[in-house]
Amino acid sequence: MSAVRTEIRRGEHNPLPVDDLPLPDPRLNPAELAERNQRLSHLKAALHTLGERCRRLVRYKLEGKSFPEIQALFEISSINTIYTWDFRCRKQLLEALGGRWEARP
Amino acid sequence: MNPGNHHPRDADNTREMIGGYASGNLSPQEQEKLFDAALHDQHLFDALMDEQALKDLLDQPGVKAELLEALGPKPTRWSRLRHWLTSPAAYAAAGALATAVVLIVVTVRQPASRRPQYQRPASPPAAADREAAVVVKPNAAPPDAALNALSKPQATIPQSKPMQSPRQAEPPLDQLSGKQEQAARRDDTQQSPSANAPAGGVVGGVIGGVAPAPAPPVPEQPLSFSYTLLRRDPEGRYSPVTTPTFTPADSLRFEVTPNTDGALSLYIRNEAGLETPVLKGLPLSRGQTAAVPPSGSFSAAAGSTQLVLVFRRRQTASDSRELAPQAFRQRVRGAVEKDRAEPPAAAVGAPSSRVSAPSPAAREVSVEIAIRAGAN
Repeated sequence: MSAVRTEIRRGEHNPLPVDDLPLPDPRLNPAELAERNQRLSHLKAALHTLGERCRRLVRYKLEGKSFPEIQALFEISSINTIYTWDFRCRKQLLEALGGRWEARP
Repeated sequence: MNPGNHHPRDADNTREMIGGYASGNLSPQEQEKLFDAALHDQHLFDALMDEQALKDLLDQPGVKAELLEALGPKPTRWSRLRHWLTSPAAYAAAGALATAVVLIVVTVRQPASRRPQYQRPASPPAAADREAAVVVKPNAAPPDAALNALSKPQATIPQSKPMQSPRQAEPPLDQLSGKQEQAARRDDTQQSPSANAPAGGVVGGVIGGVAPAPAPPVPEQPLSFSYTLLRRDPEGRYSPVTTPTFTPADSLRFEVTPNTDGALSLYIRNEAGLETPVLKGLPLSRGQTAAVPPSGSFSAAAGSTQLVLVFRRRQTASDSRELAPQAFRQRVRGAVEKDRAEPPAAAVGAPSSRVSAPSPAAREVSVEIAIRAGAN
């Protein structure tokens, strides 16, 4: 009797079949995949318009290096200089993409 | 702080951090600082919201790798080589290669160019070594013992008798007169090895690493030759001298017959001691009777003249050199030297004689004939 009450309390008395309740697919659907590919191609094209310093900076950022590490790689005395360079390169990249990170529909 | 600036210095730096938000490069402290600033700055907050789209894209698996591939240009061979050349491995390889090249060059070239000259140590040389060395030593050895017997003036020419009786030992080189010393030097160079061998080692040594030639075998028969003084008669024929009377116009000639192969030389020494070579290095064969000179004749100047015949077992370099007038050493006083008390007409001894070396090892034998020629 206590077991029945425990089962009812846990909500285990009316289980649903798995086939009737499909789990979400973590992968992208085709539409999302197409959108991803389109945004990626636009971003690649925009990266080629950057200068050598911005490309090198973006490369370090994509490799996962922190700003202090990037500062050491550039051999810059002030980290604020790295911040400034990053801000300017980001602005150039955004302008190359049309002012938006998302692709226009 | 600048009041006209909407974005204080700290806020500027914070705004500049927004570029690291989408790529995930901010440290937790920096991200917290950025979020805290965004809560108080609407523009910064809106910018963060716009960065979220890029962050979502970069967070997807494989996107960063594709962007990195797109960013880096495909390295060319030259760029990869240039990159390798700047690496420490390139320096190590270059150093090893340079060391190997230096070692190879030194190893290959050293045997040809730096081969040391071999110089024989000063040790008692063999007989052949003494022949090769240039040694000037006084001759006090027996090779001239037989010839020493002829040093004493004799009234007549010996009659075809080998001159083998010993004579007085010749004085050492340092006791000779000037002309005699220079003459001795020439003969000393041709001395047999046993006569001139120094006590210890070879003067000057043998340079060049040339192995000494083996000593020639010692012949059994002593070197000797017979000679006959000839004079041309009015008919033009040469005949042995029968009278001791000469004139400067007389044409004279020797007839020489050696007992072995060799070379003959004839020199004339006048009263002043000036020696003139008449013939040098005439090759003669064993038993061959040759005229000296082979063509023509010689004549004696008025006064005393000494004729020197030198026969060597084989022709040496000294025969081809221009001999100094006093290069001879008076080895033998000709047995034909006349008594000086007689009138100027020359008194020449016997028309022929024979000269022999005292030992089989002697390489040279010579005879000196003194003649006198009166004025015409």
